[in-house]
Amino acid sequence: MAFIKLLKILFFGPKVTESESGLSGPKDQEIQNIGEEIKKEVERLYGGRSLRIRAVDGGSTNAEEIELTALLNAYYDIDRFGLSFVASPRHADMLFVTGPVTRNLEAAVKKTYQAAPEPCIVVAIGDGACTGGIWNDSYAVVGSVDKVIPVHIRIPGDPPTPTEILKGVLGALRGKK
Amino acid sequence: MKTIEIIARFPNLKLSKNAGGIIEASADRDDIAAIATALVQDHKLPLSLMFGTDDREEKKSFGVHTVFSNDAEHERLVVSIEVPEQDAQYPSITATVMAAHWYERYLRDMFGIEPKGHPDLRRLVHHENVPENIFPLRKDFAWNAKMEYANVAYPMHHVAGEGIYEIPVGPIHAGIIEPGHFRFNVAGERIITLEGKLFFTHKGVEKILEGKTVVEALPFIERISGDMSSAHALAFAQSIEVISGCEIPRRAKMLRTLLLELERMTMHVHDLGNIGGMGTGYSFIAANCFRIKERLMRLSEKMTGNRFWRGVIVPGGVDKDFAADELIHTWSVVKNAYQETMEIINTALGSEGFLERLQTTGVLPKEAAEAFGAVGVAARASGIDRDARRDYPYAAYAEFPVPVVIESTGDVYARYKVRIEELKQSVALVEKIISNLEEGAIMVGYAVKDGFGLGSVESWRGEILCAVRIKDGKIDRCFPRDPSFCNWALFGIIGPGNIVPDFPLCNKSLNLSYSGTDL
Repeated sequence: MAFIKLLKILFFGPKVTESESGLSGPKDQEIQNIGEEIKKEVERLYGGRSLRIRAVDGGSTNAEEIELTALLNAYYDIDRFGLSFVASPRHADMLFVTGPVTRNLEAAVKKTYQAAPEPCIVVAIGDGACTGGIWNDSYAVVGSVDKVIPVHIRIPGDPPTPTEILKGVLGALRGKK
Repeated sequence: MKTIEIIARFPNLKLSKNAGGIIEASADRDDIAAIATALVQDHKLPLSLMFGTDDREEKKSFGVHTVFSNDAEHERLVVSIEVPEQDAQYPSITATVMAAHWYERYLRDMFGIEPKGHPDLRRLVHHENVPENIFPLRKDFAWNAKMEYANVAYPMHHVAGEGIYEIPVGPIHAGIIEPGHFRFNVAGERIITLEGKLFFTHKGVEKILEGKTVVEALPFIERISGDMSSAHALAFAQSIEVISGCEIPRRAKMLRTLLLELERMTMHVHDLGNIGGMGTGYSFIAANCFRIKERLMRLSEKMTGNRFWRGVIVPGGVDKDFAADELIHTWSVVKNAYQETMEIINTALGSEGFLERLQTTGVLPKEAAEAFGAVGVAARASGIDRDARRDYPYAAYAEFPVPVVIESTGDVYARYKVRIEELKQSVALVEKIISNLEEGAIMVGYAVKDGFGLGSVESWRGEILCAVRIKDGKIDRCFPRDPSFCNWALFGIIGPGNIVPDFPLCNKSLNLSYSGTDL
């Protein structure tokens, strides 16, 4: 009987992790719209392939990492728009750098950038990465990411929400030829 | 035994202050090792905190302060010694009180105070790039000083022998996590030694806080570790309230408890998904728990205006009140989140393969947990019966006590079960708070006085101890000790004996903050 029950669930049960009603707020529609736009841009720039992102922590408070991880949950699920996080900078088209870049991470951030193939779009995520934020001028901090590697787009926020990050990515891709 | 009675047994310990559960005493620097050993071993008062102060302006000496916890009496004993400027050393207590090992290395890096006889005096906070004789927490070092780049050795442990090789991991990891470097010495797949190099995200928080007013300091405190903003804010607020002698209103106490438990829920749901799903490859568990966590983060956005339970707890009370219908909505989100999480977790616990991965993996024996001064979930899963919510009741925990969850096996599974049980209790507590909340003030005025205060909070990760000293209305010294600081070294015990692929699972089962440790 258990087997029949299993078959029933498999073929006739709900097929989503979150029911439609939980995902129909205006916010989720906005994400859907931004995502579709990103998909178009990725198609234009990379000929139908996907955009691979490598996240690098340059010294953040881990709030930015929480929001980047959130991009993968069922509400945002950025894989469906052709975006995905990769384990190595060698596979990346885009770097997400959070920060402020600390002295102890300066070399690691540089090396990660050098390991990524050209052209690589560098995105500074969060106030710390964009300007150094509240940590600016501390003896232990180098400062904003652009003091260490070239930065192409800045997404401010403390930390920026997943939606703001997606908007920023769209902005970055739109400007590219 | 009352702390006062214990002090009476030490002729070389001079009582200087006894107020609000914090007992301050002073000792001669040459006696500190013997006193600490006797307090920890004979009187069973664990070492909970150790920090330095630069008192050269008034006393021509540095202060080294050790804090011992008398849980049964709800008292903390602060033993201070003076270390003269010209001869900045004292006998190390690490040889007999293992829990001091990182604190003493920290003192050496940040103050240049030498713990004589410490078995491992390598650098801890300073990486290769920091020149010799740089002591950032000395008052004559400017917070915005520009340091030269040096290349001082930062050696790590090695094991030699046929077939032994090293695996370096990090600081940039494959996943989206914080930076830290781990060095595995392995034979085949089996870990022989495991050592971490941390403090990559060292931003100089303690130094930045010096000279700031209480209000100016709060944003930095909330950003010590992004995932425990409200817990750090509360620990800081409590230490200020201790100094100023202000009693906060009941409604504020209850709202503080509410926020702390909501933060605990958010992160326990995350951890249950992260350990159970990402750690074992059972991605169904992760996908579902992360979706539920997102709902809790959105609840935070609705209640506090940000997704991290930030910005509400301030010294003197809470900065934002919640209407009755808002709280009813909160309860409905919490209840649903809990029910769904339990459905997912029960599915996981019904899987033999899942249990196989968690059980007997990453065992932390009780003796090791005690010796290293482990706190929080990791300590309780190894049978240590400590929880600041019961032992040093704050906010509304005296009125609404929570039972302490203990497991004895000390493996990843034990830590998993402690989280499930704590999640259950958080939900019960949230309901109690919401249904017992009465109208009233949420804030009281206070005047910042000079003095020393200690705030303790059992965050979802473990006990935060925030030591603050106010001078002329401004922060003279603040050490917000994150629970991660106490637990990182546990990897040296948990790792060896396991296979390398189980390390991510062990790591997730502790879920420590890098930013909180590195400060």
